Amino acid sequence: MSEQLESGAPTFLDKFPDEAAVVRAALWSSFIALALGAVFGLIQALHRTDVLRLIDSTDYYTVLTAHGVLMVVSFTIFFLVGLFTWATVRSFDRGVESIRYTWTWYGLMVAGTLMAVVAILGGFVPQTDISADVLFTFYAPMQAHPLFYGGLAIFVIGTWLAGADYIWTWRAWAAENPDERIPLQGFMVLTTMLMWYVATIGIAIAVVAFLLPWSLGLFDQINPLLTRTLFWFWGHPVVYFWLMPAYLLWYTVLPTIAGGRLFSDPLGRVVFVLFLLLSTPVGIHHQYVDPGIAEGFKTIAMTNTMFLLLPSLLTAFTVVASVEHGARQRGGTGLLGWLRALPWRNPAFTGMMLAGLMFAAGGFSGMINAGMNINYLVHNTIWVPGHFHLTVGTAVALTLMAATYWLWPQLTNRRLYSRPIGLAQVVIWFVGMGLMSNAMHVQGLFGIPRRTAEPQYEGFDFVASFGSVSELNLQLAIGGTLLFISTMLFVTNIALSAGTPKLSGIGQPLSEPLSTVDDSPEILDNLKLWFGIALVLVVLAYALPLASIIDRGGLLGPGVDPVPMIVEPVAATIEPTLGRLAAAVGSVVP
Amino acid sequence: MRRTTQGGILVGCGVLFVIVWEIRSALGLLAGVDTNPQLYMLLTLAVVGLTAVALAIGLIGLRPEPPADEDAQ
Amino acid sequence: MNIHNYEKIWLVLSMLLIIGFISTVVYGATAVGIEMVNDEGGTIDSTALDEDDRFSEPRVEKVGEDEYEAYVVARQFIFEPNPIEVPANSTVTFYVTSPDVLHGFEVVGTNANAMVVPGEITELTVEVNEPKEYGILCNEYCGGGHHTMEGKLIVVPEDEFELGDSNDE
Ligand code: HEM
Ligand SMILES: [Cu+2]
Ligand SMILES: [Cu+2]
Repeated sequence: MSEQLESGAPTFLDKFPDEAAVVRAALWSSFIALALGAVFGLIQALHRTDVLRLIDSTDYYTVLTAHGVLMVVSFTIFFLVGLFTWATVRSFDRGVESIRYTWTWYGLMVAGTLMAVVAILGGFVPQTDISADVLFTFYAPMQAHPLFYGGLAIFVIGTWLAGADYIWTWRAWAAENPDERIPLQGFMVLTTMLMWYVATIGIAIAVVAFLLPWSLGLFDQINPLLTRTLFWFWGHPVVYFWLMPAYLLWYTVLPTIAGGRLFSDPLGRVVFVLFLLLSTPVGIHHQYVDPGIAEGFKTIAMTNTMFLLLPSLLTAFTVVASVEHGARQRGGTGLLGWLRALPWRNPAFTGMMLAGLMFAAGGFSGMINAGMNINYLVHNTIWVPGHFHLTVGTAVALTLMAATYWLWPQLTNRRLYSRPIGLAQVVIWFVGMGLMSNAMHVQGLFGIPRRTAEPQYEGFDFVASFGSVSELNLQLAIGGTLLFISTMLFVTNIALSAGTPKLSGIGQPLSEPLSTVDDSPEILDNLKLWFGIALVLVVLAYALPLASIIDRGGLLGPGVDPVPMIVEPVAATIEPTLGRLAAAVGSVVP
Repeated sequence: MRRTTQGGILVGCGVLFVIVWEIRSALGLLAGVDTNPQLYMLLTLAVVGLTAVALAIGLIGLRPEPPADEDAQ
Repeated sequence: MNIHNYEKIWLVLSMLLIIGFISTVVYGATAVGIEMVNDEGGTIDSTALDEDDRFSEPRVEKVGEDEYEAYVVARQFIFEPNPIEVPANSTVTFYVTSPDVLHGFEVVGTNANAMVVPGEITELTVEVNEPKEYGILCNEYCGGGHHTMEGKLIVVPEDEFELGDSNDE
């Protein structure tokens, strides 16, 4: 990285020390969640494949809830708010309006996370009645402790305030620069947050109007199809909420690292506008095989989903074109020969490229999920986790880790502890995910279910059309172990970086796009317009299905009682666990 | 002799390993060919190992051009 | 706005791809006749399944020439009836519901796979051919014993099939 170069330019930390502190805090929250989540991920990978069972199988679901929530709520979203704070402040080139306000929303997000995590981990402590073994989808009428729903609500409110912070900065900037176009990173942040406001309507209603009061006992019946549909109203766009930080990095940071410039700024804007418009009215594609929803509504969701491929396909083009441009700037030539002129030894670059490669594979398996009829084959099988560990679990997670190798020096004025370890880390992730996700996809095609502690049944066996189920299990477990190792290398590398000497003048300015915003229509920057259209599309896609669900089952359900998820007291969890650990170790080391 | 950097070998071989290994699943699922897992793994490792050695001694070259610039990022 | 020619070509190809996908699904739904689970199963009071003549006694019934209906209850952590017996070479419509939480209904190794939601009745029609035994499993997390929730679908030769077999227990 430029540390050695000492470009002389100021870093983000030099220019905005207060904001840099918030960004670092948010990123650290994110990494802690990632590290914890990886521990749980490893337990799952070993447990469900029967390689090593350290916990009781009923506790598997506590672990799985923690893994899901920590990874896709805490890790991704804390990173997002950190990155977006950096991108907003950097691109508008002005500090936040009130740093106290900024710390406030960060504090709310931390408080919300802690509440939810306490409720989840309470599942391990039989002495309390606090538990939330409801997985990250918390489908009613399974009921979690109110702390869980309350924590989620507070967390989401924190993200809303964060969005308001970015809008506040933008408005203040616009007042002083009335005739200027919104800078690209700012534009990406704002469109993403607007999408988030649309998307969270669903989860806010589900949690605040139904689940929280219901868990407090204010009423005791609920319409499970309604809360499930509201969950997926949010549950699909959240996928893009995870993805947009990675896109922002691919569009605005990757070209610089590759030594080139973004191909086209306006096209980047078009892509983000498309996501704002299309990512919400598709959630019903998670409910293709649900009862109570007419086929027509499912078809509409399917069609919208297919069109949602467009912005990602456009992104693939732009990213490859920009990287190629970088390679040619560095002297690369030939039809494919330019590939070798790229900075492959830079973990930030290689990590993002490997993430992009896996995203292409994930996109492919995603198109299969999106086909309504093929969905019968793969719905709720382990194929699905196989798919999203490529998308959110790699395209996003690996990009965020790789980008950290570039961003962290800008936030700390310190060099990365070790670049070679960083490079090894991203490659280990790629190989580990290659194995784990491959095994998951294949097992899914054999009908092996997801979210299952022991996918071994008494009355039948799964038929492997090639190889064997146990071989796939081993592959999954090895892949999961590599992923765990990779995560630990990442977190350790960042932590150790705090011990490297302070440097100055290591700022890395981002390069300007080849085709700038100036020659693109003004209407692209009309955020009010796009937000309005997005709302209309959501109403069109959801008004009728929701009305029909309420009409069928009532707001509070056709007589469905709550089923609290309090695991039958697992007799002294700790002791048998230690016993099993000892036995397992004993069998390895005779 | 055009030697590839250690980093380059690591990245290239990581990607090669995943691609070669996943061809086994593709063969099994799409073509119905059931390869022996141990044998296939050994073959995969052999292909990847040989490629690594060949890259390291410069038999096949992927030396980045321009070379000096590598660390500039 | 200046759009590069390559970008335009890519855009067109992308749109073609997307339209291609949609057409295959539509083709599957219309020409091949793959129906999605939909809202036609109707609703039910899930706290009073025993007052419903279909689900108070989960069973298989004959409703026409080679046509059968199976009323199935998925509950923590069993399927009723178990096993579900149907004759070979027939059309079977499953009606599945739940008195407690969400479940999945997956006939392993086939594409019979649907969600079961309390308050709703999942309607799913399948064709069965040769005599064969299939596993059934729950593929939606439903509580601490979720991984033990399984059942069986037995397709028996037509001449050995007797109604009522399946609710012996
Ligand atoms: C350390 C590396 C990781 C390992 C070993 C791992 C392992 C696993 C395994 C084995 C499952 C399947 C459990 C089951 O369905 O029975 C799973 C589920 C899941 N993983 Fe990971 N994972 C890792 C990283 C990630 C990352 C980085 C993300 C997202 C950012 C993620 C998100 C999820 C989600 C959302 C689920 C589904 C939870 C549910 O079904 O409720 N994982 N993981
Ligand atoms: Cu989705
Ligand atoms: Cu279940």
